[in-house]
Parts: sequence; C-alpha cells; structure tokens
Amino acid sequence: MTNPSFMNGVPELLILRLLESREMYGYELVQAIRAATDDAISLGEGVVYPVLHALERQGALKSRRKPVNGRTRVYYTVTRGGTKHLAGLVEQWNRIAGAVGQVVKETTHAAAV
Amino acid sequence: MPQRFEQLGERLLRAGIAPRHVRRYTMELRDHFDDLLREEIAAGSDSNAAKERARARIGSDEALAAVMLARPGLRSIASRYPWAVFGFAPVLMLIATMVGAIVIEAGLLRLHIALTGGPGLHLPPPMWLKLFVSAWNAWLVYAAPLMIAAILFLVGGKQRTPAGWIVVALGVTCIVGGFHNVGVIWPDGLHPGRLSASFLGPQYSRAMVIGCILRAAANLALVGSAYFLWLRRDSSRFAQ
Repeated sequence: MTNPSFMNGVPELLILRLLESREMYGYELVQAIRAATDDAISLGEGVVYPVLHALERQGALKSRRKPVNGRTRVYYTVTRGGTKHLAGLVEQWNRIAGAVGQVVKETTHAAAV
Repeated sequence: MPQRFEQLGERLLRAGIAPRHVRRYTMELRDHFDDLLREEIAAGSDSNAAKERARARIGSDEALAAVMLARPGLRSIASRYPWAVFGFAPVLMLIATMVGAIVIEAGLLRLHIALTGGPGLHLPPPMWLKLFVSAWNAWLVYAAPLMIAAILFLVGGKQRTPAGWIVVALGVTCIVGGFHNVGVIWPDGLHPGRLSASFLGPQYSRAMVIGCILRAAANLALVGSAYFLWLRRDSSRFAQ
C-alpha cells in the first residue's frame, strides 16, 4: 500500500457515502457521521468543511446555498463524478480492511497455536 | 466587536487560502457553532458552558487552520503563482486591453461604413466618430494602466499578498503602461486609415520615447502616492 496513513481518504469516504443518500449541510453531516459510526470516529466538527470544499473543487460534490430562518446554509450533494470517486474509495478501503483483517487473523491464529 | 472566527479567516488569508474558501469556511463555522450552541442549551447547559462546549466540539483555531492548510488545492492562484499574477498578468492585461481596443474600434469603423454605405476606407469619417475613437484611445493610453494597477492592488490586498509582490505588479503596470500606445491615422482621401497598437510606437522617435518615459514616471508617481497613502492609513488603523 502506498498510502502513508490509514485515515487518509476515510473522511472523504464517509462524507460521500452519507451524502449519496440525501443532501445535507455541515452540522447535519457531522451528526450523521457520529450516528453512523456510533461515535467511533470523532473529529473536531469544523474539520469536515475543508474536506467538503476540496471534494467540491474536485467535482465530487456540488453545493447550493439555501436561506433557513434568516441564515444561509450550504447544502452539499454528490455528483455523478462523486459516485465514481466513492466507488474507488470503497474498493480501496475494502482492500485495506481485507489485508489488515488477514494479518490480524494470522497473528491471532499463530498466538493460539 | 469582531465576528467569531474572524482571526482564523485572517490567518488563512495570510497563508494563501483563496478568499472565497475562507469566506465560506468562516460562514459555515459560525453557522455550525450556532447549531452546537442551541444543541448544548437544549441539553441543559447554561450559556457560558454551552459556548465552551460548542467551541471545544468545533475544534481549536489551530486545528481548524491546519486542516484547511493541509489542502493545497484550496490556495488561491495568486498565492500559488504570484510571479504569474503579479509579474506577467499586468503585461498580459495591457496587451489584452490594446488588442480589445483595436478589435472594438475596427468593428465600429466597419459597422459605420456598412450602415452608411460609405465613405469607405479611404475617405475621412465624420467628426463624431473621430472624436469618439480619439477619446477611447486616450482613455486606453492614460487611464487603463492606472485601472489595471488598481485592480491588481485590490486583488493583492484582498488576498493578503506580501507587499513585495504588490509593488512588483504596480511597478510593471506603471512602466509598461507608460510605453503602450493605441493610435489611429485617419484616411486622407488618398490613403486608407490605420489603427495601431504598440509598445513605444507606432512611429519610433526620440520625442516618443521621452513622452513614454514621462508617462511611465507620471504613472509611478500617481500609483506610488496612492499606495503610500494607503500604507499610512493602514498602519495608523492597526496602531489604534
């Protein structure tokens, strides 16, 4: 694996996966991440925005501003390119998770023997 | 009273993040903070505790800046390629101005000929057209460099570009802008007219060179004075 950090790409994967089902704004998305991961992944909540901006810049997301109760909220949705990008991330994640799982299984088996 | 996350925004701008990303990021953070505050108050925290918890949940300024700065794609073009924006762009803008002017003037003259059915390329056009084209050319030669300098100054200021690059941009604009010329030679009945755009032209002569040097000096004096006044005003604002 050439990726130096196991967490690289994980926020992108979670965000794209959750936004695939419906459009959300930042706060809503953070709550959805917390709920979906049972608080296992906890980031500083503001950290999500640079990921959203970068994904939008790559064309994986699109945003629209919507006035709500006198405030302007930025809602994000996944584009067609984003769906393809997500498929790539999922495939990469499955490969990594499979490889790590294999190592853990072998180590546990060796310790038991 | 400064708005929440204003210092963070200033820090990101100075680090080269594009102003549109900074504006949206701070707006989204403010909105997120308000949502967290409401959530904490609804959960029973008093106002001060809710603010503290909301601030802790959203992340420290340090962490919020670090994640933004870790994404080079969010940096502005001016911060990634300052030599292009503040070194080459002024020259390209002047060239574009000249080319645009010539295209518009040629189009106008052709249109006039087509609409009036004459007088043709060899005959002098009416006085109003001559006056219009002369005024347009004068504006391009004398005012366009100053306007380009003002645009680059605003771009640099908005993006918190180091002063050195702004000075380079203003200097290049003033000097090159002193030497660019857009002119017209009207037809005299025998010879067709001619539109020209050039640096140090259209007819090279010592008087022309001196004129261009004086124009560049006047540009530098005007723009330099404005920049100096702005620096003084800005430093006194920060000293308060």
